[in-house]
Amino acid sequence: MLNWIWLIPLIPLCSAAVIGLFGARLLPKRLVSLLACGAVLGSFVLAGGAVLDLRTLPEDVEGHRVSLGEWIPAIGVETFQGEEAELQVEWAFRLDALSGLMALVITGVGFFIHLYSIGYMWKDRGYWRYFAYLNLFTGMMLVLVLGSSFAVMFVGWEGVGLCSYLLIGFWYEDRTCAQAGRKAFLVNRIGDAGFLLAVLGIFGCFGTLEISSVMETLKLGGGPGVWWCTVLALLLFVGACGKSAQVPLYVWLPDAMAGPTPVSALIHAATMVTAGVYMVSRCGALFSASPVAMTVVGVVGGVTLLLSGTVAVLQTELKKVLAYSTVSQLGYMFLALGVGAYGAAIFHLMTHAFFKAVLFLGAGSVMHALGGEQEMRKMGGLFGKLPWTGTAMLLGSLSMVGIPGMAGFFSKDGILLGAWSSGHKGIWLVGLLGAVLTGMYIFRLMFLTFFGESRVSSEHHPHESPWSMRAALVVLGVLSVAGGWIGIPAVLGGNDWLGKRLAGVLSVGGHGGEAGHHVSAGMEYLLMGAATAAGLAGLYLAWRWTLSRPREAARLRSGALAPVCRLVEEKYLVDELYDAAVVRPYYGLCNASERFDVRVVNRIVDASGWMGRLAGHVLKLFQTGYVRNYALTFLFGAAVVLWLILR
Amino acid sequence: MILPQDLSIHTILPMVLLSATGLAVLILGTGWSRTAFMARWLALSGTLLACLATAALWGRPAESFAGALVLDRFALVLHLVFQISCGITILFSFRSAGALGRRSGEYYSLLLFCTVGMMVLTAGTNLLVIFLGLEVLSISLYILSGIHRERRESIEAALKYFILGAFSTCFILYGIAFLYGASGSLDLAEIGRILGRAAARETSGFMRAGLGLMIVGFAFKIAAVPFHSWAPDVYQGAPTAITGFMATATKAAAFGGLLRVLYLSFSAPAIRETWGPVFALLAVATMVVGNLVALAQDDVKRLLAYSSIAHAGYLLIAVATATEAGVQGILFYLVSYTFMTLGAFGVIGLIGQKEGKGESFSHNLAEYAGLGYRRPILAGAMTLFLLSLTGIPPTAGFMGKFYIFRAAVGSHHVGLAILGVIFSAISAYYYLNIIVYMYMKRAPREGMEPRISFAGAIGIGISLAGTLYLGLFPTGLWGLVGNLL
Repeated sequence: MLNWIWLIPLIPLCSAAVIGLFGARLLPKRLVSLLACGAVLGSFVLAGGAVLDLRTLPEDVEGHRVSLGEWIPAIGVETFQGEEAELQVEWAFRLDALSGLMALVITGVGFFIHLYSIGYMWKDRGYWRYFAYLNLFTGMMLVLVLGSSFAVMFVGWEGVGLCSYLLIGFWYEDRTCAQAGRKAFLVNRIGDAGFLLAVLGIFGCFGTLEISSVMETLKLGGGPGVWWCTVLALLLFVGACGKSAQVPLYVWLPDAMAGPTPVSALIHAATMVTAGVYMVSRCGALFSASPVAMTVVGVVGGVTLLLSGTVAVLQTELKKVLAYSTVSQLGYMFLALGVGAYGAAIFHLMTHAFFKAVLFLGAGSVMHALGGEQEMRKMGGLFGKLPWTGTAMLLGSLSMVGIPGMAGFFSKDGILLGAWSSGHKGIWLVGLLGAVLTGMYIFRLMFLTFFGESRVSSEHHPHESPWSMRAALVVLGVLSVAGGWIGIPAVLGGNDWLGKRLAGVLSVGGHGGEAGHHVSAGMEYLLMGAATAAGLAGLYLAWRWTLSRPREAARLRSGALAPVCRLVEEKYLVDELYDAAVVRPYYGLCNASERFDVRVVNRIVDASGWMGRLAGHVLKLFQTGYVRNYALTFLFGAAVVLWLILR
Repeated sequence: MILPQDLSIHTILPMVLLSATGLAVLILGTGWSRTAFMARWLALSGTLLACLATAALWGRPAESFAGALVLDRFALVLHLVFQISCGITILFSFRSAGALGRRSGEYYSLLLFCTVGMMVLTAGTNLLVIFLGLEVLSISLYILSGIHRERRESIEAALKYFILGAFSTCFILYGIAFLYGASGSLDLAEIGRILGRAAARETSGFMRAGLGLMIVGFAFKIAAVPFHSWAPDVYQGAPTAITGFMATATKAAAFGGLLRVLYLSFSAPAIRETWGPVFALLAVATMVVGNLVALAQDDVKRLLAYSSIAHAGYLLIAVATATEAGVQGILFYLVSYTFMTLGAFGVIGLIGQKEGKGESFSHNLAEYAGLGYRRPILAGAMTLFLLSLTGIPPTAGFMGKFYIFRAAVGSHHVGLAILGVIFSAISAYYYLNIIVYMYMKRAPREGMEPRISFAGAIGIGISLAGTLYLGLFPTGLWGLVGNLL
């Protein structure tokens, strides 16, 4: 089935085209649902089959590449080193353990979110439009992860950005939604610019855009030297920051919650935002070649983790908490990338996809039950009324906090172990602190929503969601428990199946491998214990301050910690800072250039257009309609030509 | 002299097929009330068969009639262009020619004969054969442009075309006489050899005068300024389907004949230097006049007539480079230009179709107001053709211009390339203006909606597919048209 991998992205793309073109009038809703879900399921099955077939490849071959044909024909160019190279890009896809895992997560989680959306969006006017976008997104994301060259990856990279914009602004008649969509698009463009520059630079340095050959060159110790590697890696990282919502480009993600909740689950939690993590780990050899870049990645990840973790603790809107928690979990992944624990980052990416999807879908279910209410202060005591949702979300939260045995435990443990064993003790501490925050914000959310007294206003009658939504919740809930069992480390009696599969693709060659020093089993147990304790500590604090002794929390917030809390509540005033430092000066510049444009440029353009038309009218006079005049001009022309030739 | 074993009839099978179909259509047209129906289907299937027969000759360069006709890749590519253009024209004519009644037999047979003439012209390597092809094609076109003999505009167009065409024919004939007189041969390759030997010394004045006269004659056919003045009037007066055919196939045929003459006989470096600047001058004049006058047009059909003059200007840039890359660029451009121009004229013809009254002669821009909402698919197709004519990716027009300008830069004609780009930018004004009318102006009244014939829709579809395909995947054709002469 390996030769059919190009169909994996193509099926959802075709389905998107069909739904987009004919969905408005011709297709009934049921057919749209069937088509959309069926396409993703088809891709999932195909991806599964292809991943299984990876075993048939020879030992030393990491992946399988399929080319559909030429995209950019070979153009001879010169690289930065002055060597001759050919810029040639094919529509090629590449399946290996890494892209296979990503494809499975995207289509698997994506399928359940599609399924969930049937119930969630059923009454929406733009039902067909929604599914067209959602399928387009799935297809583009698959292009991104399966793309064999940076150019094809860039197509997917831009494609998911576009879909994200379309889906955040899905209810475009609502001003906030439209603005949130625009903000996401603009911030993403900054990242995209970095990515594009990096792609051009990579071509300039390596003379090829094929990802695997670039990484192969680096692994063998070749390449353009540390300085160029740093520049390229940092530019790539700018792109990753945009897409994966890292400091300072994370500001779009919390606003993106204006879109439909399943979209938040799929795009802004489980898949698209992980594109940056995927890309950095795919280019691991490049990043590992530059210690500076690695440090920057790790530090940015850590800062993001703490910053957004603290903001999440004090948010009162359901989806905002989840949004900031996503940002902070992505921070975890980048922290792992920064210490060279690529496998752990990818593992956390996968488990995060499971538990964050279930949390978002659960949140959607809660909002569905309460008529769109988001404010947690108007919830509480919902567990009895929404048992399915509550249980699924509880599983997701426990997994996220890292209760031993659950998916999140293994992946977070992998990250912290990676940080410790590679000697980055400071980063390890940041990760541990992050674990405390994780426990705090997610269980604060759970307690405020599902436990304690009910603060639901009497006009709402909470009810459980339709079957399609519950089914998705159940499956994803189970996955957020069991999904981590493919990566149980050796000390706990597992064999780290996933890690071994990924090891080949993620190896970075001579520049130093993953997890430099070996850590003894006892140390590993200790680290696990510390991580678990940190999570439980957070959980305890959440319990103490929301359910058990809310007064104490209130006293803290109005007392000594008041200024800090205010600052955190206002999200560190980052949006305001951007407004003052970037947006306003930019608008000022815009206004100034508009005036220049209207008063100067426009007039010049008008004048030249006017002169062109005038010339046309003058020349038109020669078109008299009389044959004799035509013959005369003809003769004149003939005379000129003959004179020129005989001269 | 022509010997029996040199005939190799199979090489001229496509031409024989087309001629036979033309005759059959003509005979059918003498009586029978179902003529129109039969004629068009017969003509269409004959064209299709000729296409297949041409494709079957692929990869086997062949000569016949003692080398007077050469069916090499150059000829075959152009022959396919003519046949495709002819086929699409037939599709567009389904309804408009139906209005001719019994005379539709004449219409289709002339179209087929015209195509045969073009094929002879581009396959010919003998001056007389070339002249024969040129005349077959011209005479058919004179009649076709005046086929609506009850209409003043049509007759006027035909007469103007005929008089000026005869004028230009004199130049070509005179040129042939000069060349024959100077070299003693009518064979292009032979003339080339004689010139090559003479290149060391001074080329004879007779030879050069012959070349100049030939250039003037061909410049008339491709509507290069200042030999263009017939084109706007004739393009406007002729039935729109025929206008499209003239703007594409005829232009391609004339360029084919011109390139044959230039590269078989006058390719010695010394003589290239004499005709290169002539074409550079023609190119500049053609781009200037074509584009600027197009700016001042209100009538869409007349606007496209000037636009086709402007495109001849871009093509002349490539001729002026006097390089093989230029030839490659011309052929690519001709193919892509054929698709987009045929499509655009097709849309104009379909929109101009008035219920029961046949085709109207006015194609005022105002009629296109709001078309994007009344007929979204047709307007969408038109938008794409116009974007392609402007030269915006991902359409064929962009790739065509890219290759031509690249050839110009590659042969150090940077100034010409810059002028070409500037005039492309100017052309955006009048092309986009139509799009503005289609999408941003309110329709003046709820007029009669044009009904699109099925055949017309297929013709548009083929043109659209060609325009997009060549824009997205240009390499296939680009490789095909390399190293031909």
